[in-house]
Amino acid sequence: MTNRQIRVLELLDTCGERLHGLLTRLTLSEDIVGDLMQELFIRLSQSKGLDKAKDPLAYAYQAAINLAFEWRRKQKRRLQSLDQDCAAADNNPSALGGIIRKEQLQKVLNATAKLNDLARDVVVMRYIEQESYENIGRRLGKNHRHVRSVASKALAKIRQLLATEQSHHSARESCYD
Amino acid sequence: MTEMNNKEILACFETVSNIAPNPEIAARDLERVREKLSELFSKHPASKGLSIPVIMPSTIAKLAAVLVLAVVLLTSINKLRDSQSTRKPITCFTLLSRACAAEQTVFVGKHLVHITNEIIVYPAAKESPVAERLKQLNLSDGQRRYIETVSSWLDFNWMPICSLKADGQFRFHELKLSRDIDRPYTITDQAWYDSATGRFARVMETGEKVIFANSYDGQAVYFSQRTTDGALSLLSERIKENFNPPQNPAEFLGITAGLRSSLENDDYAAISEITDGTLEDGTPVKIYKQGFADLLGDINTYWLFKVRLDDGTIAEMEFVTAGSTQLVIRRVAAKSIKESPYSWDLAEIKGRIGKSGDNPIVDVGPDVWIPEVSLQHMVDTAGFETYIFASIPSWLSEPVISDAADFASPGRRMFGITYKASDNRHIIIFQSHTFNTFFASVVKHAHLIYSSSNGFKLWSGGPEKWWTELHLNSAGFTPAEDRTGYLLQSPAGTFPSLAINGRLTENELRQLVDSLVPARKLLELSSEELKKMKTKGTDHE
Repeated sequence: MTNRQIRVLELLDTCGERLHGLLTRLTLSEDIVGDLMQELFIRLSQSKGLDKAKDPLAYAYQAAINLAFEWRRKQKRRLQSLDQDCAAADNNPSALGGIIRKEQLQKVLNATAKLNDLARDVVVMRYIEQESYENIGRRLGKNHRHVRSVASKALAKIRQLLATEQSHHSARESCYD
Repeated sequence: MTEMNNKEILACFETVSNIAPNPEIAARDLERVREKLSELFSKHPASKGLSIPVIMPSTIAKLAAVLVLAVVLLTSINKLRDSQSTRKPITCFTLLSRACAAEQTVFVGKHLVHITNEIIVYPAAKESPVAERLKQLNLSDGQRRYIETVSSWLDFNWMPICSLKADGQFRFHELKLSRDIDRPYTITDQAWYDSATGRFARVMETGEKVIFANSYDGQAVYFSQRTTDGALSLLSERIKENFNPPQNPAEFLGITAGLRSSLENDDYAAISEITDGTLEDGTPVKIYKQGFADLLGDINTYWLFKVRLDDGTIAEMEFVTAGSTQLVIRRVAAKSIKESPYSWDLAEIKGRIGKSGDNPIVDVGPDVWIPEVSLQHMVDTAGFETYIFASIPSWLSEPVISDAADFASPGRRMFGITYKASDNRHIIIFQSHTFNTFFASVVKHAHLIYSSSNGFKLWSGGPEKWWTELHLNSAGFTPAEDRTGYLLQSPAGTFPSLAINGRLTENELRQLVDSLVPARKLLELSSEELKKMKTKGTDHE
């Protein structure tokens, strides 16, 4: 067995659950996480980068974030199924509320997917994984003040992306009216 | 939807950060990844390995060999027992089962039948392929020592033999075969059978020394047994009222006696290879290989069944582990004779029965397996705290407790509690000293999925498909594709394992774990309290 394979197996045993949790949060879909976990570990077992990584967990973590947002970008907007959900929920305020909330989460995560790699990683580590700026700095090899600044700018960028998205959506709706 | 401000965006992130996957789904997904990696790594010669911690493949592979041998043999015993009780007659769908059946004809005739078999035991392999693998791994001294300990379990081989009791039932013994030897040795196993009366005699010898004997003279059964001073004696017991001589002598006197292959129709896939060959005397045979993949994905442990083309009987069975032959059982002769050299009461062998320690390389231990024992027996015999479900849901049968030798921990016993399910989701709880020791170091690599109010921890993960298959096989069930297995960590620090032939809902699983109680406590309950407890279990459903 190669050292890399041993490393991959150790990662699976020590951090598998954590990475599974991360992928669940970033995809909001338990159905797809099994496939993504498989893809992640196959990629890791084929990655020379893992051999050189000083912190294999940090490496695997970033690979998981990349994979989740890659999946997210590939996903077509599921307007059709969402519309069906909305129709079914028309007479059910709580269900409708849940769907709207889920749609919000999806939009925020989709906007996060459009950030550059550094900003996206910082957003995930800070706002989703709730890590301290110092920790994130250590993992990414950056100064914690710089990380704080990246997080702040990323949040502004997300807000801007959501606003743009919203205006496009409103324009489309008015066309159909 | 209106535009979102920073606060709302942060609230969304907070919601996302609070999402946690269902532990069962997570455990299932991780297991899938393990299986995939195992498959992937095994395709590359330089990367053979397994999807469990580095220490695990080797240790489990070693344990596997012990378990595989035990399970194969215990499975055989189960089949034999089933056929004996006529609940599940041996079928003849495959060539191998036909071969077993063909042997029955050997015992049919007007004359006395004399069968001679040889059991040849070979020295333990010096180097195993697993050891070669270990050299490629970076292990600590502690890990290596641990593996060596587990490896030492293989130093003693065994096979089951059965004797007839005065009530007409079989008793299963452990024929202990030391492999710590320089050269092979041979045990001669002879049987004489009178088909007209059902009388028989069986004598096993090494050199001039008798190590095992059993006979029936029409009035009593005679059997060798160690007395309290360790000496082997020939004892007799008058047959009981319900005694019936075995209808099929091939089942306990033939070459497959005690080792009857379980290769029936459903298990045909277990044959991994069929080749042509010849016996030493040139007789053409078909050779069937039944292999057992270890956790490294290799088949280093297997049986070779050599079936004669002329009469379809099994001429030879060879057991191979770590790439070298460990055991050969072969038919030397089967013929009709006019007179037996022994009387049916075996009076002639009394001077040749061995004493304890006379022959350290071969010994016969009693009761390798007792199919049904009482709760009291388990409590008294185990030597560790044993557990049982206090309340049983209606879809499960009442438990059947079996007691078997714990081969990896000489002198100790292991217990299987089997609950048959109406929907085939049979459940077996296995408890043994070996598992208690072994799983204590393994459990840290598993995933905790439930902590019950009665102090049990339920762990998931690891090679559960593999060991549940072994457990289910050993209980005589055909393992389902979706079988599941869990490790239980008891308040007493023992590690019962839970093998389920299917999937339980979270609720079903929790209810069962919640109802686990020490077996000795169940004994202390009055019948009224017991009834209440069972009713409580039914109410849960």
